[in-house]
Parts: sequence; structure tokens; C-alpha cells
Amino acid sequence: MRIVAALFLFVLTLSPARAIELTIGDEEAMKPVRTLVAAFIQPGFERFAEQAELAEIAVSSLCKEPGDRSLEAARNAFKDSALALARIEFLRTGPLAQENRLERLLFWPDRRGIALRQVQGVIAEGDESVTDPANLPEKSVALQGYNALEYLLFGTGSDTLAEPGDAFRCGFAHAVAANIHLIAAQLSEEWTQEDGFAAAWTSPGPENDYFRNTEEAISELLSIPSEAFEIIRDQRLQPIVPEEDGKANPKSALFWRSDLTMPFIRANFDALRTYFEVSEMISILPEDQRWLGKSIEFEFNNSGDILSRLQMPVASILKDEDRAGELGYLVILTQSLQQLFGTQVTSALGLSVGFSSLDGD
Amino acid sequence: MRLFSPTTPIDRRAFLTAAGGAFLAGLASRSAAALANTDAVFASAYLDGNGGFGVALLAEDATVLHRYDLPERGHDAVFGPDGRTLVVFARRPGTFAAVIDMRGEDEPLIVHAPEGRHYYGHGCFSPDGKLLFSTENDYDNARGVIGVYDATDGFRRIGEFFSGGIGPHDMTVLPDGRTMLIANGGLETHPDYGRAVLNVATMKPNLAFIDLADYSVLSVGELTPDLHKLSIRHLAMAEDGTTWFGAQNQGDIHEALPLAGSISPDGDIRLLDLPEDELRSMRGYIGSVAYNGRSGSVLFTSPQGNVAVEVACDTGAIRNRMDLPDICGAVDRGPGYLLSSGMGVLDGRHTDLSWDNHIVRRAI
Repeated sequence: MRIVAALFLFVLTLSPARAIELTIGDEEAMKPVRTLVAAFIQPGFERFAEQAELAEIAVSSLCKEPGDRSLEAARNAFKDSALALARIEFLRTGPLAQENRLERLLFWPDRRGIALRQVQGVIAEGDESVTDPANLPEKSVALQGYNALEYLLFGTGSDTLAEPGDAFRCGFAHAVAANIHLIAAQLSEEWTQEDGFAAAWTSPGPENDYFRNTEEAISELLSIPSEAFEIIRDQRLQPIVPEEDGKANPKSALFWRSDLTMPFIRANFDALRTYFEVSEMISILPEDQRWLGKSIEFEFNNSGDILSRLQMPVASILKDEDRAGELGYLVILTQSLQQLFGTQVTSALGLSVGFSSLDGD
Repeated sequence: MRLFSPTTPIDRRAFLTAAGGAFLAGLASRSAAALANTDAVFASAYLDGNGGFGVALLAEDATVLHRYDLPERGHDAVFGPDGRTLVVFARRPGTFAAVIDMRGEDEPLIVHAPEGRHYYGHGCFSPDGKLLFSTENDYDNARGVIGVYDATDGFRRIGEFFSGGIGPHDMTVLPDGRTMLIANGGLETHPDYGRAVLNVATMKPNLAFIDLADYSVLSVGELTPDLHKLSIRHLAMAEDGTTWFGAQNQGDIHEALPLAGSISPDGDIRLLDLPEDELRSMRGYIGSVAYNGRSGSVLFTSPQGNVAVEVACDTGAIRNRMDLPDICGAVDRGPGYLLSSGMGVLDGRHTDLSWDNHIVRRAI
């Protein structure tokens, strides 16, 4: 065997890595991130915290004064709060990626029905410790967030909440709502801290612990929508799209009990469109690449049209062949949007679209 | 409890022999290939400019000697101890492994994972070359298994055993020839949910030692609970059985968690104390690990951080670092390393192929 002792010579680099060069200047490139944080992300988390607080108050009122109206108010507050979550849950970087906050808020996908099993188990045992919000952070993440609260407010036996005497279930629901509010308040606070993640993301540099240069900050800006559309497709749509034999399981949908499946997905899309528009990310593309903005807009319009027709319980969609077919088209649109953000816009800016790093393994 | 579950005839999938040139492409003549392939030292999977996947045989100087098409994306590969067989595993959640006779005498085989299993992209041979092992996902039961294939009988799947955890990825056999080490990444995934990790909050990766005599789990090494989101994925073994590992952070990638370390044959785990700046530059992700006994170093690549870092095994000090977009493939060569990137760079030269995460060396 021929032996060639070829030694790979490393480039000794002591300064922070700058392996990729953007096609524009740093200051101009950072505008979309700064605008996005101030005009979309921080207000989004603030609104989420407000809605979570309103949900806690509504459930508290239900527990104090059980009745049909207070139950309806609590259920509506849950929906408003969950839809506020839909507008920020794809921002899975910084505060939401820390301390299991995402999983504590949204335990999904839950392929094995762990949340349902655990909530039902707690109800069956009558474990009083779950009625104190202070105890919840130490318990299973599946008991702490929206999946548990949805079952408590909409699941089997939830109608008894309108009657006096179900203090345990209501107390559990209140503790979960309070826990959600606590997490939401922490998220909002951390996103506005002067020396927090927002400051790091908007001011990259060699001394920055999170973002060493503009390329890393912009990559984060573009990877968020790309990953969001993958999540919507794989975790929200694919589980309910009928199989080739036409079979489908509407109960595999997120929030099917509260009929919030499709409103939640629409809120995801709406928020991602706002993310795209508010950031004005297209303005930093080379002029001959700005047509990509039109393509993205076109796909958002298509998905918006479809989603407006699908605002109904998943079971109803699946009973109608045409509507079920539109779910499949929505899947294709998520693929297209993922590719537009994750590949085309990214490469138009001169950023790496790595074969090895895109699909991490 | 039976440690080794034989694959029943009902579960077996036929080994499909690809027809015509769809699978074995670019092979002008078998004899020519056989001649060229005697110089093959390395192999690596790739994506070509037309969107096709394949695996390439490389010479010591990284010249591409031969290319074989693959039906889908490959990941890692392993050379058989017989010196003529190359097996390429599908990237997760793929379900094929391609068995290539580098002499061109036998038709290539496509081995399929059985129902309810998919490959994780890595495998190894038993020291005598009679068995091929592959890391697989028993996804309905959220359980890692090692598939066992009879290399003397058309790579028939003859059974499987528990990997010692969830999400087994890379694996190796220690120098004693009797003990297998498996990096169980700890990630529960299911094909119904794409790449979504279903157990981030509770994941528990480990390094499991398996007794190849009876396939029992000898011991399991874990990181401390505060590091439970470090998915241990890739391994590189030194001559004495000390095995270096690289991890991927499933939590906040901006945290500077220790991403690399070593485990001795008796299970002593030591984390590498890399400078915080270096850890941050890797963006929570080590994609490949390579060990070089000649230089006494180990190299970690991070395609997410576009960086490779070479570390002295004895002191843990950084010897060199290199910045290259999407750098990942790495293997020892002479006193240094042969490196590749997903953006086409191989050994410092641009090629028209996007190289997958790993380069594998043929046993000499």
C-alpha cells in the first residue's frame, strides 16, 4: 500500500472564528435582528405573559365561583393564552431553551400519551400537592403546562368544574395556570434584561458569550423560521394528515380537546409572517436576490388562504376529503417555506448552508 | 430474559440486489475497480451536484478512486476485516445498509432494517469479521438495539440485543475483542415525528459496555445529571482502549458545556476541560471525533461552529484549531488528520461533492 505521509497543516487562529463572510456590512446586517427583537419578540413575550396572567385569574375565579359562565371564561382564557404561546413558541433560543421551559409549557409531541396518563393518575390519586403552584416545578414537565391544563379544563370530567365540589381538579388547574404564568413572566423579563440574551443577540462581537460575530447572529435569525416550519410540519400537521389508506387519527392532534389545533397552527403561521415582515430581512439581501421576498410572501398567502378554510375541529376536516387534502398541501408549503428561509435566503446572504450541519447527526 | 433476540424468519427482509447501474454506478469494469480499490484507504459518504447520494473510496492522498451510488443518504461506513468489504449505513432514520465488495466480484447488497427498526448510521464488525453490528432504533418501544448480521451468510440479520440505552449512535469494539462500547445518545425519536426529540427534559445518554459473549450490559457510564442534555454521539478509540467521545447539546446551545471527554476500558469517564471560548465556538455540537496515536492527539469537529480543534491526549491542551465552513469529516493520517466539509472541501481542496459527517479508515 502506498503510504503518503501528508500532514494536514492547521491554520492557527487565535481570534474568534469568521469562517464565512456576509455579502453586506455588519451594521446593515444587524438591523433585522435589532428590529425583530424590539418590535416582535419582546412584545410577543410581554403579551404572552399578560395572557398567561389572565388565564390564571380566570381559573382562580372559576375555583372561587364555579358555574357555567366562569368555566366558559376560564376555557376562553386558556385559548387566548395558548394562542399567545403559538406566537412565540418557535423562538427556541435563549430564555425559552433554558431550564426546560419549552417542555414545561408545551409537552409535545407526546407520542405515548404521557401527559394524559400522568394527569389522570394524579386525579385518581387525589394528590393534593399538585394544587400548590410552588410544588409543580419539581414535578414531571408533563404536569406543568398547557397539555395538562387543556385536559383539566376540556377533558373527560371537566364539566364538573362548573359545579361546586370539584375543588381538587380546579385547584390543580389553577396551580398549572399559575405555573404557566410564572414561566411566561420569567421569559418576558429575561428577554428585556439589559445584559440578557436580547442584548447578546443584537450586539455580536468577540467578547460576546453567545454570538461572536454578525454571521452567527444572522444565522440565528434565519434558522428560527426554518426550524419552525419543520416543527409545524413534523409535529403538528403530519400526525393528522391521512395515511395512504385514508386512515387518520384526529386525536393525535395537538389541542384537539379544545378545538384549538388549527387556530394554533394559524397563529404559528401568522406570527412567522410577522417575524418575516417586521424584521425586513429581505432588505439586506443583494438586490438581485430580493425576489425571494415575493416567493415567501406568495407561500404565506397560500398557506393563509388554506388555514382560513380549515378553522374547524380536526375531526371535521378529516371527514371531508377535500379539506383533508388541503392539509397535505399545507405540508408542502411548510417544506417550501423551510427551504426558502433555511437555504435560499441564507445562501443569498453568503452564509453557510452546510450539508453536514443542516441536518445534524 | 433472553439477552439476544434472534430475528425470526417472518421478520427478515430479503436482501435486495440492486439491478443494473442504478446502485453500482461509475464502475467501468470490475477488474479496473478492483485494481484501483487496492489503493483505497478511506471511505466517506457524499451528496453529488445532481442531488444523488453515494460513497467514495479515497486514496491516502485523498484522491477519489471510486464512487458508488447509494439509494439514499449514507452516513458512516465500516471496512470489513477481510479487506474487501465496505458497508455504508443509511443516515438516521434510514433503513438500508449497502454492502460493497470492493473487488467487484460480488454484486452489491442492500440490507434492510426489519419492520419497526431504523439505522442510526453507524456500525462495526466483530474482530473476526463474521458478524456485523449496527446501531438501530426500536422506535415503538423507545429502546436502542444493536442489530446483528451474519457476514458469512449474505449479511442475514440473525438477531438483536439491547444497546443499554436510548438512541445508540456510534459504537466500537475494545482491543480485548470481547467488549463493545456504545454511545447511547439518549434521544427518543420516532419516524412519525421527523427529527423531533421526544424526551428532551428527561433524556439520559450513556456509554454502555456490552459483553459480546452473551450480549449482556456489563456497565453503563453516565455524565452528571446537570449534563443530561449532552447527547453522546461519536467515538474514537485509542490503542489502549481509552475511547474519546464527542457530544451534542440538546439544551441551550449557547451554554458552554463540556462537549468532549474520554472513557477508560474500566469505565472511568473524564471530561475534557476545553477553554470556554472553544466550547462556545463549537455551538454545542461535535459532529466527528478522530484519534491519532502517532501524534498523541484527538480531534473534534463542529460543522455548526465551522471549526476543528486538535487536543493533546496527555495534557488536554489545544494544539491546533482550524476554521472551515461546515467542517466535519475527520480521520487520522500520518501525524495529522484528513478533513472534509459538507461544502466540498476535502484535504484542503475543493471538490464537487458535499461530504457527509465521517471519513473512515481501512484497517491496514
